[in-house]
Amino acid sequence: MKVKRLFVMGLVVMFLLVSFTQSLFAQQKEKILLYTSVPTNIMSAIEEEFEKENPDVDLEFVRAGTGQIKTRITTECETGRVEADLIWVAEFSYYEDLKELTVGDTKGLLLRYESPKAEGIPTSLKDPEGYYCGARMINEVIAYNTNLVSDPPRTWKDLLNPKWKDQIVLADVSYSGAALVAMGALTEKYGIEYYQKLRENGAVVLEAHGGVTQSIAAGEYKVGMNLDYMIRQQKEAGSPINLIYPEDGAIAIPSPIAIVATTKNPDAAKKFVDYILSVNGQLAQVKLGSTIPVRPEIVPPLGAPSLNQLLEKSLPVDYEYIRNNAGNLTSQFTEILLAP
Amino acid sequence: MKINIQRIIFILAIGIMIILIAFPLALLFYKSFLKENTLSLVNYIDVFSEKNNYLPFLNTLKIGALTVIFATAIGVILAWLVARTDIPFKGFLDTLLLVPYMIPPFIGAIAWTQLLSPRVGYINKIFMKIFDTSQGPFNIYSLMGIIWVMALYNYPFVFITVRGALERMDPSLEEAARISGAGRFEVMKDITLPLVVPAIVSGMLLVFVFTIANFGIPAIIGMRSRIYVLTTQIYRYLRMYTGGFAGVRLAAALSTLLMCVAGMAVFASNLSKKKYAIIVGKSVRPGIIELGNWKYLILAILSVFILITLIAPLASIFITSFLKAWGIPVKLENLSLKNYSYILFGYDYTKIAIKNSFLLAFSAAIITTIIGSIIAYISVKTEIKGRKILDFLTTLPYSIPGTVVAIAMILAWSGQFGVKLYYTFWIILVAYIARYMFFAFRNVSASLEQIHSSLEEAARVSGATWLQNFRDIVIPLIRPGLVASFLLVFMPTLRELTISILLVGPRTITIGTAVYNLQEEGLYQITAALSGLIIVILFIGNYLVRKVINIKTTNSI
Repeated sequence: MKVKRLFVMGLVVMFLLVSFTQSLFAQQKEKILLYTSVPTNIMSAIEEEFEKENPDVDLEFVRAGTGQIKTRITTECETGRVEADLIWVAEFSYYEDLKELTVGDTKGLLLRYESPKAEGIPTSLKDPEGYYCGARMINEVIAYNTNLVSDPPRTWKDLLNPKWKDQIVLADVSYSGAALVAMGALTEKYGIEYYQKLRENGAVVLEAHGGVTQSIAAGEYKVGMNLDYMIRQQKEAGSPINLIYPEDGAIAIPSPIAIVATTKNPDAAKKFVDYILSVNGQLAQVKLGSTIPVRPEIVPPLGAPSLNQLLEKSLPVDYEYIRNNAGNLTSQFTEILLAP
Repeated sequence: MKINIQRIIFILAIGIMIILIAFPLALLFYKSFLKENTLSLVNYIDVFSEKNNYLPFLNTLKIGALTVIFATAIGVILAWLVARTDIPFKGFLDTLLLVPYMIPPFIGAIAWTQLLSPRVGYINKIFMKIFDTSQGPFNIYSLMGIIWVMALYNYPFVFITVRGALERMDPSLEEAARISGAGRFEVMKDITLPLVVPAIVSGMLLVFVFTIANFGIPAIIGMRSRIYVLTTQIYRYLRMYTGGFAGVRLAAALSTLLMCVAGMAVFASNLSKKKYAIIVGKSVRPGIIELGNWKYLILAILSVFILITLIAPLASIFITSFLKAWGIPVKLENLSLKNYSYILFGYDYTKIAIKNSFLLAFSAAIITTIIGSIIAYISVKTEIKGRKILDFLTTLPYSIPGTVVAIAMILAWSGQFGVKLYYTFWIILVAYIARYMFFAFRNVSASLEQIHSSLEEAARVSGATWLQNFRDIVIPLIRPGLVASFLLVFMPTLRELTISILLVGPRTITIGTAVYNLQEEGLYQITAALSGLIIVILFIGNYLVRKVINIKTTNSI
């Protein structure tokens, strides 16, 4: 009986040993950990392309909504150790916050790195101090189901039309950084009343834009506020969904990438930033993610406006305003759209 | 000598249980009365005055109560059918009705959203086609939706307890009544029912506690319609505050509230426990009622029930997992293996999550069985003073919802007392051990209680030391209890979500949290594929484990 117990113990020990040695062997490559809000399936594909070009780097990523990543970073700072080597989320102004966070003895969470590949990217998409750089252009636009809708809304105001009652879906601002930026831009233009009217019109909130895309494509809802690249991808896959760049201005969100100051593998981290901003990296993103590139010379996905066209037509975004009001905006959104 | 060793072990055990359980819970209780380092009731005032807080509280009670009613109704009827009638295919029915155990509740919830989503759910679509409407008759995203899925997952608790009681009841009581002239219904009403009430109450308690403690079902079904319960509201608080620990204060108050509700339920059920000596230990079968021609009607109804409650969700998950995109018609050209190929080969987290969950479940099961056995032995077989305290400390977390345990762990082990476990593998393990220790303890105690002390005394009289006695007499006799306790901890922790969703970090993701994150992200196909994979793993695991136990228990005495 004791033998049986020992046998089981032995199994446990062996199991632990095996996992431990496995992780030892994997350490021959340089490991970097990325926290990102880029959708899981797209990020997996980009990771594959990156590792083909950089076989000596092992990239791991954790995908979560921007809101969850923010909470994680804050908590990790409080416990004295940030696990990530790279951060890539949608909220441009958040990176200014990151510059001021402290972890352990390190003041300022970001590593200053001006990638040689960042030349040619418009200055408005980069940090003048060199800590972060826009890596993909995603845009909040209007999505609609082509089977159920023959006259889609053409402006943001159109979404408030009673004919869309209970048929509107959007993403949660406390989960998605892009949704927060969109809220910042829309409240500046139309006031917070815009969101109150959305609630009155029966708008439903899902956590992520991924869910918004799926539910519109399925016909669960007819219209919604969604990210352009997701709609394009779903459309290419054959789903009955289409997008409109609103006439009163789409909201252009340059999702930046930055390196964490406490990284143990700065060279590997820099390789990833270089890749993402390079021609190859941008081409990969267009092909695998259908996002608009931040390099103006790269051809955008089929049917999408070019970078310059986009920047002309978009709603202006005041990142200072969003940075100072992130908390307010989030609580207002929760109060108006999420309270029972 | 004997007393010294025992005393040392006893003190160690108490020490472990205090650090493991008493300390974090006490800290939680204390912190709920704190606001910015001053003691005050302000958190509780916030809780009861703010709509955001008292509504979840009311919802929790509502859902708990209604689920108990439905689950009990279903469970009692089924138990009576299987235990007391001559309905055919009993063995088959038995196992089939226990399958909900093997599909994690949150995966069940996901399946039901696929079936009953108002405009695109599979079942709704069938109705929409037949009646040519633009919307189906069922809306899963409602209070009734939550109650429906909860009841489906909880009726097995009532079914098992009531069936056990009905089968082991001494038939002579009922016979005596019949002989005295009572009709069939009178016997049921005056003899059977009162005798079975303790079992029903016991089942109802399990249902209530499980329902109010559950996170996955109300999270997946309720949030979209802004229906929150205590567990989901606590989760939202923890996530809402990007300032790290600010949200924990309110979460602590709500957690304490949740703990009290559970505690009161346990207390109330203990009050009404009257113990009737109905289990006499003879293997007599009580009277079986013949159904006659009703048999076929009942079987038909049962089949429909099984079709709706078991087959439909399973089918839904697998169909969705093969669909190329959400909501497109289910035709051959729309099916593909690409979701499974991604889960198995493209998504790093599949392997990491499975490895983590197995490691956690295995470790938790072994550690709780060992410590639980020691504590059980002290409690049952020794006369050490203060063993009642040990009992209490071990039983305490049983009724405490997983969410509360998780919050207590965060408060205790996030560095303020020198131990930083947050976001590591260990904090999840510690939470699991605290939460499930009771299962191990109870099972081993039950086994130990069946060992008459004369067996051990015989060994001692023949010259064995206490350790030899333990090794050669006690352990072999309680082996079934040990195995049972291992399983009772291994199976639930393997697919657990409620605790881990609050404690996982980047590399410690578990099976449950991996599925939940994908669902949250809106990648419904991939979620379904991962769910399908997990269901298969759990089925196989369960089958293998059952085979192993059968071999083991037939090899022992």
